Amino acid sequence: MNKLMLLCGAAVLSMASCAGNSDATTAEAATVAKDTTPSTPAAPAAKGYAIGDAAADFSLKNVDGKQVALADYKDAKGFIVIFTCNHCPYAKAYEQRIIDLNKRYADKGYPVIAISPNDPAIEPKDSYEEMQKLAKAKGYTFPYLIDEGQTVYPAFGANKTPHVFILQKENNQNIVKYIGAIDDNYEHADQVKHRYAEAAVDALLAGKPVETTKTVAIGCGIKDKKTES
Amino acid sequence: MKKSVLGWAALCSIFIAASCNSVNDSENPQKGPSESEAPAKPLPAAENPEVTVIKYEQLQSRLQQDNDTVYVVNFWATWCGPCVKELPHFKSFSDRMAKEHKPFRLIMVSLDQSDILQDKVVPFLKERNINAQHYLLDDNTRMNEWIPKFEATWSGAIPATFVYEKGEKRAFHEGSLDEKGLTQLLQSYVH
Repeated sequence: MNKLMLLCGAAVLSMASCAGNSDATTAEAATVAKDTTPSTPAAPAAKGYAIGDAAADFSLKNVDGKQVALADYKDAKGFIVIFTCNHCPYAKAYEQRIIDLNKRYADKGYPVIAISPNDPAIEPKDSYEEMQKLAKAKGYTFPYLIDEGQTVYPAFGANKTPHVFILQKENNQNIVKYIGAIDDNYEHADQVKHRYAEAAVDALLAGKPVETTKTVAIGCGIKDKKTES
Repeated sequence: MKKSVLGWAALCSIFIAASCNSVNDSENPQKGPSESEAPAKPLPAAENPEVTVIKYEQLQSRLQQDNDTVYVVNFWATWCGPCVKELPHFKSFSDRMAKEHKPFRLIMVSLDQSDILQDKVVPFLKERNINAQHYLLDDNTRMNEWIPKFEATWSGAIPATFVYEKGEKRAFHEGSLDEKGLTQLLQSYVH
């Protein structure tokens, strides 16, 4: 029985190639790859903070109804600011890892500040009420703020969820030290090889320069009527 | 048991026949989508699209073509709302290019997890029937490597669309495109 099903599957698979026969471009496959990185004409200038910039403070509403600002954290040495949200599969995949980051670093002076940048009118799963539910269900021990006017995420230059900004307090300014992903494997937390965010905070705690200051990863675009075509 | 095996064999043969409609139309009385009764029958309306699982290097070499074809590469995922929303524009553009016999090829690169390829990605694409070459880029642990290789200014947000010609990147757009935006992006490459 099982064998038959397998056979059936194999036969169907082989038949699927008839979909490819009409493909006019298969004959090109033999072309040798060129080892060049072509440049893009008129690349848009990157907005938001660069490494070394001072991040402006903000005051955003937390899921408990209270306003939260970075200045409230008198004893903090810095912050792990994470733009994340409810609905995005990548954000979901990182929920536990964000909780763990706060557990590991809040007491050492680097609390997690999570901010949902999305417009709930576009993505209802990211409404304030849904954020409250998620924070409660997951037992978030850090603020989960809503960027209601959608002004904070553009100031940072966040463009997807999750998107991490690690800040260090220097002379009463919050200096951007790391921008990017939490780690290198959203799919399998147990197979992560590079823990970018942890490495950055560990370096800052040790008084060392952050080795990898910028990383990129696929994420969900931020839902904003102003930028969506 | 014996009965169910026979049942499977019958189902199987129907399925195989249906998977290549163009060849078997005359032999298969139930071709095409059956909108009337018996929706439970596992008869595919069209062929399952072929989706090739690849790594970054393979995708990159796929784009190094020395011919007159303009390649539009769209990075998308089934879970990505704006990606799904812009798909019809890509489909209609690709259909129009095919109809006008233009040297144009749409390359759709899914960033879905490879373990949902058969259950989710393939049925999703089959339903939309997009005239494109389909890939699933199964290279999630090296995103920090290949995203900047594709484009230094790409934040990693999807959808993202590239235009390649003669093996070189001609244009890049991060974010969704409407019909007008897509036409504008492509107008200097496809006429």
